[in-house]
Amino acid sequence: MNAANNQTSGGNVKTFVANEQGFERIARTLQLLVKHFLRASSKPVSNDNKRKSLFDIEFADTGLSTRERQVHEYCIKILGSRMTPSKVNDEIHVSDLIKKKLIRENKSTIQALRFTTLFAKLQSQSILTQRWAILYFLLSISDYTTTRDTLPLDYVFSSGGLYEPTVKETSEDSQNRFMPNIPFSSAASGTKLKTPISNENPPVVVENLPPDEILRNQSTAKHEISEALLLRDIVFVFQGIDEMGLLYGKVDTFVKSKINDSSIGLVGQAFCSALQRELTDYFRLMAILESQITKKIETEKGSSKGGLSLKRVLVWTQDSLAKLRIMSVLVNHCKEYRGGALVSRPFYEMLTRWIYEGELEDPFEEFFVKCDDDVEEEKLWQSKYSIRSDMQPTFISTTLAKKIFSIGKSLNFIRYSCHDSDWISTQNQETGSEKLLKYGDIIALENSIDATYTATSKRLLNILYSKYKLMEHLKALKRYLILGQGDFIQYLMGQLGPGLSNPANTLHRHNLTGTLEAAIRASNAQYDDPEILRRLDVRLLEVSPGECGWDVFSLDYHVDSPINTIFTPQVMEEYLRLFNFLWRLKRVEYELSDAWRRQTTGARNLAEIGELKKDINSSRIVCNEMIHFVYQLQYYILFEVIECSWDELVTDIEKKSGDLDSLIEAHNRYLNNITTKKRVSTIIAYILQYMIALEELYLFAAKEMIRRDKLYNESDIYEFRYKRNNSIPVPDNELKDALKHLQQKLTDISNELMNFLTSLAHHRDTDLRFLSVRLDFNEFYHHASEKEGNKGKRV
Amino acid sequence: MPRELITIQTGQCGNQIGMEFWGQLCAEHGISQDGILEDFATEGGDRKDVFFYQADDEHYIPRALLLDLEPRVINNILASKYANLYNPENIFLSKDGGGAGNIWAYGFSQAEKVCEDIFEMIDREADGSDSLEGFMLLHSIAGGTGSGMGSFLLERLNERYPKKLIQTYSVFPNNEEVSDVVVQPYNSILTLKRLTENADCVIVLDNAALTRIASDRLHIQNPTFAQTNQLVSTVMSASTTMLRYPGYMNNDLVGMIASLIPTPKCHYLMTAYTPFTSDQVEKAKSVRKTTVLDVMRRLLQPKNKMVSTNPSKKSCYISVLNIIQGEADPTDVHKSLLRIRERRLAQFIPWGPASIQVALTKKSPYVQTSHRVSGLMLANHTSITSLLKRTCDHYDRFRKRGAFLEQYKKEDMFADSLEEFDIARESVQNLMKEYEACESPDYINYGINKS
Repeated sequence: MNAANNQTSGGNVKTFVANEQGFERIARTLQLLVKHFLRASSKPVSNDNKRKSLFDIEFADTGLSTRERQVHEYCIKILGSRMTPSKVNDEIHVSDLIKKKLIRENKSTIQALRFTTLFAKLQSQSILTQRWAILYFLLSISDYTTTRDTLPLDYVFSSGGLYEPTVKETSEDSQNRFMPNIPFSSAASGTKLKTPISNENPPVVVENLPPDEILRNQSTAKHEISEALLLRDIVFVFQGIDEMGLLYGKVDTFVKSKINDSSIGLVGQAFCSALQRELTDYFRLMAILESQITKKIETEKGSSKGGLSLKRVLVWTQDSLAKLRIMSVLVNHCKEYRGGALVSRPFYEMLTRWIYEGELEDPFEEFFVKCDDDVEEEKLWQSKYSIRSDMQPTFISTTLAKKIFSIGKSLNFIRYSCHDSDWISTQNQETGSEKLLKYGDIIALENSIDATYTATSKRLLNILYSKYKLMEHLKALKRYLILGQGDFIQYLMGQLGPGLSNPANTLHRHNLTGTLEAAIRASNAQYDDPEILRRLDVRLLEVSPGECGWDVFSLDYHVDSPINTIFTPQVMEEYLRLFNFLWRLKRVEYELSDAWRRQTTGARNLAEIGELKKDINSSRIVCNEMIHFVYQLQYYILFEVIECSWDELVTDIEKKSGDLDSLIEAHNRYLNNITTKKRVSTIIAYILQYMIALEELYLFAAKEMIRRDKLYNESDIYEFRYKRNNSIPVPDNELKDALKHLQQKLTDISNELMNFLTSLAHHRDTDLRFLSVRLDFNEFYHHASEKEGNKGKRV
Repeated sequence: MPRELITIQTGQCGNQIGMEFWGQLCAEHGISQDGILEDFATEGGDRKDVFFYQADDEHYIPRALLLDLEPRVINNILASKYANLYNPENIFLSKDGGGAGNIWAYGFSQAEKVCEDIFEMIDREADGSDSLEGFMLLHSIAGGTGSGMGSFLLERLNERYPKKLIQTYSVFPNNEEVSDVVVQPYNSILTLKRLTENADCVIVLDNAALTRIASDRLHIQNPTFAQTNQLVSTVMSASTTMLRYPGYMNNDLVGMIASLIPTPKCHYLMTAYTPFTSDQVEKAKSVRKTTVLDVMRRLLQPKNKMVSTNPSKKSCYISVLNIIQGEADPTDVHKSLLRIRERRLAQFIPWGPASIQVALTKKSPYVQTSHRVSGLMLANHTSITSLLKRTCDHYDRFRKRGAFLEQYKKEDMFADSLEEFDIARESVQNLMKEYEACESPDYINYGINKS
């Protein structure tokens, strides 16, 4: 649908009904509309109509289907109705009704969103003044199409509208006068079919007649005009009357008045001669039409097939109409400009549209911002728009161009990703007076763009922070994926830990999510925003053969549009990797704590076994060494890397300067900082080394504990405890093997650790160097390596 | 799964410091004297369930048992503004109400007699926890009830809950003053044996040092017990902040003490706190500038330690944990550690890696303090032997003379022989030996020549 038909519909309908020409235009445009919408399902109706009315002409020639005709008829009826609409004259209200209806009927929001976009476009059209009426009309016909199949169509024709204005005030109609769509309800149709419609009406027996028949009945009263005569008139009409004529006149006047006027300059003259060329084309078309008419009159007696018809005239003149419109707009805008101002006119138009509305109106790809329509909304910010640097005017610097680019992109992001078009329209109205960008005043342009840039970026960031809770998401990621919420992680570790040692393929996601929920309930996480918690999930990474639960388990955090512009899949992957690393580190801590608890509470209860005393003692010392290592490493990562990077990020955010791009950049820097400083690959390898040895230690300790427990239970508790110096025989071989292996592992670890410390001590990064200082705060390793060279320090 | 801790406070001293402790916790968590959450306490982020549970009517109730053999202190508590805070079922008062007469043996045997009643209470509390982490015993080692009943409870808790941690806050008597409890060396030695063998972690609070801190640091002449007890409650609340305000690390008791106690026996921790200001102790006058470096340096100074020790040249730290509360910047911590290392302000064990661990924790939003940063140090230091040695010396002098033993012989444990005294003395001796061994690189071979 376009300007032509919209212009004439709605509130003006009644006046046009009285006027034959207007009437005809409505019929024509309506028909186009109907055809356009029903094109897919239309079946041509047979062309055997002998009697022609004003409307039948077109039906017959263009082959409208029955359905199309019905719809068309219905539209006419609505337009011709004198009933007062029951709805408030408010376009927003009507658009809401349409949206609701679309959602209701499609059970999804896609159509409604599309409508919103279209509506926004419609609103931005200044030519159209009857937007409410257009929408209301569309809404009314939509009721017909949805209920058509189940309701008797007869009623449409039997009541009012264009054909029977006298029926209007019958009792049933007055009941329905505030609801134009009600006549299709069963109540109305039911009663209607059995009672005479009105006394004045000729005996119309509508019940059993097909629609066509009724139509014919009714149109008999109308007079007929020869089509050829009409056509001839039309050609004249095109040259002075109607829209086309009007436009032509305007352009023609402009050209005639300016073409010989040297004051308009060279650019102006070129413009005029271009217009002149177009007008010549227009005359050519007229000439062709005229010759066709002549032909048509000659063959009048034959059938109407093959000749010229109103319909064809309409089709043939569409192109010209469009051209004329553009030219008329150009003429309107260019009257007062000359030279560079005239050249830059379209550029400024485009620029204005772009920076105030985010619309790209650039049919010939001349603007320096390009839009890729294939890019889905998810990636709007990253890749939908790009700068065409070869199209960038020299008077616009790269910085300025980037700002301009960012403004429009931000507007589109606000509109499509953040679903906030209200702000753009209000903003538009507010700046409406000053928004005209002037040619020549580059300083003013820069200032204006700077102001818009700041306002738009600020607005965009504000929407992200307030409506989309960006800060809350960042904090949530830090709390959950970076393990900040200690009690939650502790519970999760406690509950999941034992199960994660099983093969990865034995894990079940639903069990894990159950534990996740329990962990939320059992910790302070329960007080978190449900909107945040909803996003928290469990993810099982891809399983490779031989992997255990620890390798594949991960927490996950769901992000959607628009925040996924910052938390892109790549970024989230980084977060998951970070989680995996910290989770493993936490696991080591957890296992060490567990071992410590066993050792300590065990020592409390059991008398020491003489032969084992030394080995137990040294294993405790080794455990302590690992605890020291893991704690220092964790402290370093959590406080010195994560917290410090976080502080930087928060400082960046609090500045609130820059646009979304600078925010994304700051966040990436934050993640990157953490990732590089944690040195995943190396450290993880060492940690795992520790773990293997530690498990050896457990195995041995567990065996020993069982044995000791047995001894403990067999002997009298009190006596056992007071036998201070007894020596309990130890199964010699078993012990020796276990200890030997353990010793070997410990030596390995010591060597690995030494290497690690050396590599840290000479690292380029000062933070990592300091980690080595922390790990060897009392210079224990330093002395040990000095004393013993590279040999294992314990034996 | 809050890793609950059940607090058992015994005797006069235990109940007094307990009362201060709960008062402090209530203030920090925004809980009223009656156990109701205050309207302003909405900031969250804290965990109340480690130390409290909620009754049916949402009241917060301390997981605490108040035990005594004489009614004076507990009656005071019940007459105080906190009367309605505690669960009345958790209060045990001996029926005859005569107290333990400052005799360890009497406290011990009395406890044995009422063992069932007490353990019914303990079991009930333990059953009411989701995942009990352990017990905290508050007592003094010098009197009769705290030491005797405390010792008995330590032994029994071991048998009943072999896998739960047992931590104690033990107040050591002021050996420099003449005490009204003449037999305190006996009580101390007998209790020390249980602390060594039946507890996992003992936080030593030395009355001599507390008095010294009150007068030197806070300029309070002749501090009252109430004032020194406030110092103790400050230390207790600070040492439990990590459990009550969960963060990245050390969210449970194990996490906190595992790094402090490498070998099970050497589990006596000394504390230092800074700055003490009028916020904690009424009428104190000291207010000073606080930076992370100031705090960390002051924590290492002997005058801020709540234990009076005489370190030798070989004395060293086995481990240190600094809990820094308030607005601490990690980069300041980093700088402070470098400074401390450069200046060699702390000496560490030679047989393993050791360093100053730092935990940064939140501060209660409901308690206003005049300082930006405060710090608590928990340290395992070999100089604790000097405190133990003083106690042993006292004991040895008494024991040689055989003075004041009649009261002990009245009880079954000592009726036939005084062997228990000798066993206890030997246990403390072994402990001192092990601590001394920690000062040498050979500690890794400790025990090889023994049995």
